[in-house]
Amino acid sequence: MKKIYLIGVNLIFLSNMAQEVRPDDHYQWNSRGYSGYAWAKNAGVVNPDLASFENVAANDTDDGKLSNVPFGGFAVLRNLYDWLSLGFSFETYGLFAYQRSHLNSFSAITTKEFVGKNFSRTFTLSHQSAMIEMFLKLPKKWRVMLGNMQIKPVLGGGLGVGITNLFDFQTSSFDVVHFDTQLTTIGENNIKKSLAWCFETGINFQTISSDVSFGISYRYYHGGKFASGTRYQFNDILNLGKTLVLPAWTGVIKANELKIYISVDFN
Amino acid sequence: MNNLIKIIVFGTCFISENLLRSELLVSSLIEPDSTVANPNYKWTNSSYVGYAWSLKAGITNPDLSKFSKVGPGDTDDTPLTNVSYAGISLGRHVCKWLTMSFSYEIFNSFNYQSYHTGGSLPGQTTLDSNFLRSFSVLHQSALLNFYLDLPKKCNINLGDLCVKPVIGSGLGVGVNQMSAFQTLTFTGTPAVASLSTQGFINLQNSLAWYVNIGVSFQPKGTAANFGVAYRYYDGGKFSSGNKYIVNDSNEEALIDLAAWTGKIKTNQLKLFLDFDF
Repeated sequence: MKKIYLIGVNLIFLSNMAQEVRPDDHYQWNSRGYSGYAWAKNAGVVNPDLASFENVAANDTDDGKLSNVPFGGFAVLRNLYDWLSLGFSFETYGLFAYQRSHLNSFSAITTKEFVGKNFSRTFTLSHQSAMIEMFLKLPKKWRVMLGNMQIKPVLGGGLGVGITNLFDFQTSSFDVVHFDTQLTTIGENNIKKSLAWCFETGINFQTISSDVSFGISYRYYHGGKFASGTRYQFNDILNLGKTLVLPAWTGVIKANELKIYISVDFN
Repeated sequence: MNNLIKIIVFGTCFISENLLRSELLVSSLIEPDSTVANPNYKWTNSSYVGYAWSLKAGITNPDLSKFSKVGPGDTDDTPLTNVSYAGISLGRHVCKWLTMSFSYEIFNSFNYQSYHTGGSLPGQTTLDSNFLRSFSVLHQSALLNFYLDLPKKCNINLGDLCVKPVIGSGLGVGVNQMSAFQTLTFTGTPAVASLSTQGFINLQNSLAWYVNIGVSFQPKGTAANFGVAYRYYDGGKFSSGNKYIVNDSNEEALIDLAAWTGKIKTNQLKLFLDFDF
């Protein structure tokens, strides 16, 4: 399936390149489709209530990198001025996963979470964003000709809303000391909308006089904050499956990204 | 999720190709200042993404004597999570006023999660049971769509854009895969243990339909247009199937019980990019 998909995309791309094309100076609109890969950074996850949740050991931390994921999106832009394009984009990501395993943890006397001293905490993030995008049209003297290919730098950014669904929050451990059974904390799903933004720089390749171009970019992407719900089910001997309301676990999606795109100008 | 990304990329590449082709056709087939689709165009293609706000799924306990039941004032019926979706369609202008198309769309996973306190276990009347029931529904649909091509007098010119209303509907099959069904609780007696009921994955095909109203923007002299729409979308029924593994004093028994069912119903925002060719 993957091979068929790749062959399909390549054939479409090649068919574009084979078209007879027209000069692009007068085009007012631009559409682009893109995909890429995001290398997630530390999400800034901290225990929101040390008095309620199990504490990690002194040399341990709750913070960790989310998993790396692919992403895809499309954008429609308008050439507003000689130096600026402005438009709208929507993109969606593969599932970011958080997973931390902890040894020799300890708990406060007031703790609500009664898990073993060795435990793992996990959750998953489904993320999308809708952004206003802006690209600068850099001076023509910065362009380079390579055969019949024009190469030009790309500089832009975006600002909008990141929508992140946090689900499958779970703390899991096994109590071998008292009862020989699994102990879990199940967190509530939650969708959080937050400010998302990106900065992008790259290079664009365009065949002479063609209205189709393609390119590759680096992006620094800030997808905004995420948060769990505030209800937790505690499956242990203290709580017997009760639901308690406690502070949410939060973090921020931050990633370095590689983006590959194909772009078409039109009127 | 990967399929969602593939649809977006593939669809956009497909559109890019045809945008170019339609661009070349425009110059030879229509007047330079034309703002409406050329009657010589017989086909249309659309790629779209959107966001779905879920409504209550109509979930009820199918057998109160077999499943843990909620206490007074509590309910099993809570909304599924909101999700994003993407799709692609290919259509034909069948007459002056009607366009018919075929579409395929895929949604991110709808999650159901319902916390309960003060419920009761099967066969008991004591309201001291705390449990959490959850599952996921992966939904796709293949639909036959009908869109009205409204009279030109309904259009508004806004600078170099022609603004047109969009009214349409679709009907077809919704494919719903329900997975990760779980009821989870913890008991202090007679043995201290974590207890759960696990459902099997089940696929159900059902009737899906929607109504759509929106607005499109078409730059002068091009066969491409883009826009935004509201949809009421009914994705059809989903069902858990009848097989469950019960992790309690039944010692992980595989048993037949009534299926948990519900319906995907959503309000949606849709962003689309179309072209005629």
